[in-house]
Amino acid sequence: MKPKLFVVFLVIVLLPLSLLIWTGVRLARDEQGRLGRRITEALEGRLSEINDGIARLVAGHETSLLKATDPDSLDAEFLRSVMRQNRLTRQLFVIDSEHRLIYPEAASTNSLTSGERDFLERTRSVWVSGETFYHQHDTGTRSSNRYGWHTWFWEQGLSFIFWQRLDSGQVVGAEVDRIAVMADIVASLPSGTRGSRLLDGRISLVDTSGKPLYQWGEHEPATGVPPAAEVPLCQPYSSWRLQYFVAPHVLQANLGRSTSFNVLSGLAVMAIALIGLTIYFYRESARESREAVQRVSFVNQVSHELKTPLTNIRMYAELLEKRISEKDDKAKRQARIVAGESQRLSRLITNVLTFAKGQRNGLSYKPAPGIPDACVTSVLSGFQQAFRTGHIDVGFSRGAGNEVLFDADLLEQVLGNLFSNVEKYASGGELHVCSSQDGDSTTISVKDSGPGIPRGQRKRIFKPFERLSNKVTDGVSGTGIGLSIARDLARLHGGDLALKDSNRGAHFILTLHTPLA
Amino acid sequence: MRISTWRLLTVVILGVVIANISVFANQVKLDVSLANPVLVEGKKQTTYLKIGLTGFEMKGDVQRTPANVAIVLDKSGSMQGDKIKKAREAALMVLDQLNNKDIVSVVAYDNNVSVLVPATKASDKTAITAGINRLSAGGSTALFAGVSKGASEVRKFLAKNKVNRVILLSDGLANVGPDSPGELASLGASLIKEGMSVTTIGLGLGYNEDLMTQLAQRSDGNSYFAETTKDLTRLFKAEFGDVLSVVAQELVVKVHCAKGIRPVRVIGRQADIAAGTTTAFINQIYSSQQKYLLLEVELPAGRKGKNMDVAKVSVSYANMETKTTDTLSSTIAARFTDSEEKVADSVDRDAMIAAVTQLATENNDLAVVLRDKGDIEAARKMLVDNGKFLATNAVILESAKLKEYSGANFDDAENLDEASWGRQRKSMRGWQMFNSMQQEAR
Repeated sequence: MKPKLFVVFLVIVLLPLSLLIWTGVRLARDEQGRLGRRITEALEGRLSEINDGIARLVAGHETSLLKATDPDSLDAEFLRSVMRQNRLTRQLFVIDSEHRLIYPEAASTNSLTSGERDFLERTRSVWVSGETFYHQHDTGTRSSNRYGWHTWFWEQGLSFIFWQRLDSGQVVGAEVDRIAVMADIVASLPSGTRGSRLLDGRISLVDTSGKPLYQWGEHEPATGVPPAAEVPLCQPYSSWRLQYFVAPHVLQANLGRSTSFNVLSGLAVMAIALIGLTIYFYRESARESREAVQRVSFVNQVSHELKTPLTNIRMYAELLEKRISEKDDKAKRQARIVAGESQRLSRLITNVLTFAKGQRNGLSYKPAPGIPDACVTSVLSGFQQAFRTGHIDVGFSRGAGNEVLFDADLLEQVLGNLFSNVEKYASGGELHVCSSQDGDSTTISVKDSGPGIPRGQRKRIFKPFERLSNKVTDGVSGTGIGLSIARDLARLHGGDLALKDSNRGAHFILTLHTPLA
Repeated sequence: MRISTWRLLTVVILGVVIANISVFANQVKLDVSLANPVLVEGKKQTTYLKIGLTGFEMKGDVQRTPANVAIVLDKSGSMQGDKIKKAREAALMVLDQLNNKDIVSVVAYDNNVSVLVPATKASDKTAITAGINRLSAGGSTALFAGVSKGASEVRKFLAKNKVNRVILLSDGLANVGPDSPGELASLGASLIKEGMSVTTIGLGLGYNEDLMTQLAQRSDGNSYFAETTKDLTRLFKAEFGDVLSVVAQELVVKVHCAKGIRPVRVIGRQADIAAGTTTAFINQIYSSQQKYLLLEVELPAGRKGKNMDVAKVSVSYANMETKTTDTLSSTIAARFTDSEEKVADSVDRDAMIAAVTQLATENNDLAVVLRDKGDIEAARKMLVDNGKFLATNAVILESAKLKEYSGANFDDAENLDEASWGRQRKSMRGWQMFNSMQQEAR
């Protein structure tokens, strides 16, 4: 593939494709985020349902604790019997209306059970902090708040106190048996009985430190994987959390199939379409250029075939012209036209052959000693009849009369092309040819007074098959390879053909490398 | 009865009064005795008060208390093969012994918990058998959750007139959820408040015996140690013999010490001592079986020839035969003498054996603590001394039981090295549990 085509390929395939990928990926990511949030919400919803169940359980516990903390008697023996029966209470305590802890009474350790002494030790920080349970919560509109929870950290983890203010102004509190609560919560949660639908998930109840207390579901999450959703447990156990882990393939199935796959398949189809289109265009253009090559070679062959008979026609036309007597003016002119037209045809064929040769990189030049001015004069004389017909005045300033090495055929062809343009476009004007020599280079300037070449199109005229189309050129025939060949030849000859800025008409400067003979 | 006969032969007569004896219905027998009913005068001293409770004999299966049992089975990976097979067999054997008045549930756990058979009448045997046969092993060990679920199955049909029990069979450790012996002990303590006991059966050598025994002990259940699967069926049978022969439940024992008498501590069982009153719970008493509470008491100096009131004991319990709540009470007094000989002669053999057993059990427990700290020598010395102490008393008290325990202590002392410690520790914990809870079978 040619570099230019490659670039084209990049532009028409890769650019839109990468653009599509970029937007697709962004879209997919957005969609994934949205879906992810939706999944998380759904999972959180499920956890919240479970949490609601636990909240109902806790409400039941509260009812039981409200009863336990409103005993018939505040006698120590009676309180002990309450504790023995209420499985949620690990230890009861009583604070009198003066905010003094009256049971278990720290002062009389002898009358305390070991459990009561342990309790005082455990809750020391609570008493040291001056916690009275009632005043703290009894503010403003919440004065109706007659019971509540208090949590504190002890070495075994979080501990919970439920307290109730009695009408007498006393506060009765219960240290809640954390383990009993835990066992109740665990018992209330679903188990892995057959038929439970949590095949690809795992719900864990974890404690403050993230250690699982209970779990169900068949999926075993890898260590370190964060949960897909997390909900703290209802008060007062909000430092415990419910976590939902979902098997990666389930998430993939929910997330991936809908977006990533769609986007990817869309992109793939797009890419295939683009590549297909490119290949189609590439083949089209390849076919066209192949056809063009075939056409050129056909023309080339035809031209070859035409060349020999044309040479004969030209030769005999010129002979005929010489043999016709001066008197028979009409016949002589007709013979001259035949000779001139065959000369033009010959130039055309030469151009075609040169172009075909240039296509095959087969151009070469054969310098031989000669005088450039003589060659110019010879070409001009060939156009004499044509210029006369087109009422073109010709002026030639000679300045290249030294004998140098150059390819006369080549120069003839270049000049022929330039003059034939003048003939075509500058009829009724004038042509001024000016030659000069400077060291190893010969310069020939060809200036006419035709319509000239618009500034914006000056670069295009040297490209093959470019024919400027405007009202002046319309109706004029041509192959569109003349100037292209002319410049190629000039460059082959170590020089150049350039268009010079001019106010009026076209002004070509031809330079050739012409070492002295 | 030998005990009474023996006591009659002694010189001093104790004031043992059994109140509220119903002539018609069977009653639990309350037996209060002092290890030293006669004491030396003129000095402050301590002795042991034994409160014995003996279940009456159950007559046939007709009267049997319905059982409400949750069988909690460990199906973690380590149970694979023979163990899980035996566990299934044991569970099926339990099922076989139940009738349609009983309720049974089967819970299995690894890292998850599954309720294989929710609490249901034992009459539906095909479904239950199918549930048990579904059991296969694999995974880790959510022991806490397993027991919690088992307890919640029992709770569905929790009734005072049933034997409410969770039977846990595990060969492993708890590694999901609360897993410390203390936490499991708390679980046991909270379950007994509902009248539910947990019996633990440790299988093989892998389980955490402290966790298993404490869970059982705090809920007044039994704890067994089955080294091989062969023992399993036997233990299940023993446990079920117990379960099916409960004659009294939810016993509250209160010991009110007389003025001047100080209750020092209760050895072996959990009890609350506050302001002269000792309160203890016993969840159940089995047919013809004695359970006792041993209280160390400190008596002030007494005078020769004088009686001293020591304590008043009252017991309330649910009589499983009459379905009534019955009460028993008794008082006990001590006498003083100036003769050491009389003191020695008057020793209450039965109470003294109990005291020696509990003290030796304490020492045995201490030896475990020492060995856990790595102090093998101190532990060995402790055990050897303990063995000697038991042997001496076995001779004085002519007790085969003490002699056996003495031998066990000497045996323990020989097996403190790393290789046998794991097994030996379980055996020691088993003995300790057996002694302190007065289990029927080991």
